[in-house]
Amino acid sequence: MVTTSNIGSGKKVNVGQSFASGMSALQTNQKEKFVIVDESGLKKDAERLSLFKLKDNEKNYIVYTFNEVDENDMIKLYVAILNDKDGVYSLENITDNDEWTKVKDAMRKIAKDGQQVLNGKEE
Amino acid sequence: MTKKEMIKNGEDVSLDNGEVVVLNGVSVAEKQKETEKTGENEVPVNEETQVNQQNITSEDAPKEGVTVEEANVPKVDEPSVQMPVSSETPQISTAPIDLTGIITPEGETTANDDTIYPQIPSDSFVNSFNNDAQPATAIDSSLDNNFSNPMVDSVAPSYNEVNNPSLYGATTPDYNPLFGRETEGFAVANDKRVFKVPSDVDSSIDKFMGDVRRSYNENIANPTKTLVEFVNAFVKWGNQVTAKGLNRELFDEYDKLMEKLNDTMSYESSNDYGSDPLSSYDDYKSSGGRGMAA
Repeated sequence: MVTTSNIGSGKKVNVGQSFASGMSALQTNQKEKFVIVDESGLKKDAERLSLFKLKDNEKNYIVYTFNEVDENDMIKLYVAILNDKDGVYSLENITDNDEWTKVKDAMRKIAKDGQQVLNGKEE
Repeated sequence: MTKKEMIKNGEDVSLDNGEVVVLNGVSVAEKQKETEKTGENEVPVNEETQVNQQNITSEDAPKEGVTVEEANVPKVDEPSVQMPVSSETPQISTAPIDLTGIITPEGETTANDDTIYPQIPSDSFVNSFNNDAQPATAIDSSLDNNFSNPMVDSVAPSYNEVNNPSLYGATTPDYNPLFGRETEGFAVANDKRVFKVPSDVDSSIDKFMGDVRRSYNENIANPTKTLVEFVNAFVKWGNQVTAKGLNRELFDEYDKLMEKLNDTMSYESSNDYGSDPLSSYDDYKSSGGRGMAA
C-alpha cells in the first residue's frame, strides 16, 4: 500500500496501448497491483507499469495507472516519486520541470526497450 | 546476459548506459510493509469469529490442511456440532407423576394396610398362601400320584387296585417295597409293609426285650438263684448236723440236696458258660467238707 496526499494528483500522461505494454515489459512482476491511500483514508486500487531509478538524482519513480481510458482510447498514466521511509512507501509529486523532462525521457527509453523485449528484438 | 534473462531472473535492468535503472527488486505491494504501515496485521473481529466457527463446526474442519490425497477420499457426512444459541438452560417438561397408591401419608401406614402392596390383592394373596400351606393327608390323591410307580405315571390306583400286586410288577404284595410307603393307612391291617408305625416298632421292641429277659432268667438268673438256694439249704443242713448231729432226717435231707444239686449241675452243663458255678462246691466236696464228719 502506498500513501499519497491526494489520489490522482501529480503528473498525468495519456499513452497508447503499445507504449504502456513496453513500460511494463521490463518488470519481472508485470502490472503489479497495489493500493493507494490518500490523507482522508480513501483507497483506490492501482496497477504498477514501471518502477525505475534515475542515476542523476538517485530518486525512484513509479508509473501506475487506474486503467482509465480517455475518449481517444488512450490509457491515462500517473507518474510520481516513490519515497521509502522505514518501509513505508509514499508518493510525491514531481514539481520540477527539468526533473519531469528527465523522467519523460526515461519513460520513452523504458517503453522502447520494453517493446523490443516483447518483440524479441532487443539490442 | 540479455534483458529478457535479467527480467526473468528478477534482476534490475539498466538502460541508457546506466542512467536509468528499472527496479525489479522492489515491490510496492509487499504485504509486510503494508501491514507494518497500517497495522492491519490484526485480524478483524468478524473474521476471527468466522474462524472460530469453522473450528467448532466439524463439517468445515476437514477443509483445513486438505491435501491432494485427502481430497480423493470419499467424504463422510459428519454430524455438525450445533452451538446453543441461547445460554439459558433448556427446560425439559415432564408429565406429572401420579404417586397415589405408592406413597401414603406419614403415620397412616399400618401392617395390615393394603396400600403397601397396592398391586397385589390381599384376598387372593392370602387364599393362595393358605392353599399352598395346606397340609397333605395320607389319602390325598395328588400325593399318591407323586409316589406312584413310574411305570404307571399319572394313574392313581383305586383302593382295590392298591391291593393288586400286578400293578406294581410283583407277584405277591410281599415283594413290593413301596407298598407300605404308599398306602400306609390301610396297609396296617394287612401287616405287609416295610415301614412300621411307631406302635408297631414299640411292640416289636417289647417282644424283643421280653425274649431277652426270658432268656436271661432261664440261662443266668435262675441257675444262679437255684445255686444260691442250694448253698443256703446246704449250709442250713450243715448247721443242723453240727447242732443236732447226723440223724435219719438230716441223712434223707442230704439225699434231696444232692439230687437237687445234680439237677442244677445237669442244667448248667447244658449251657455253655465259661465258669462252673459249682466249682466251689466240688472243691468243698473234695476237701471233705460236707459236714459229714462221720
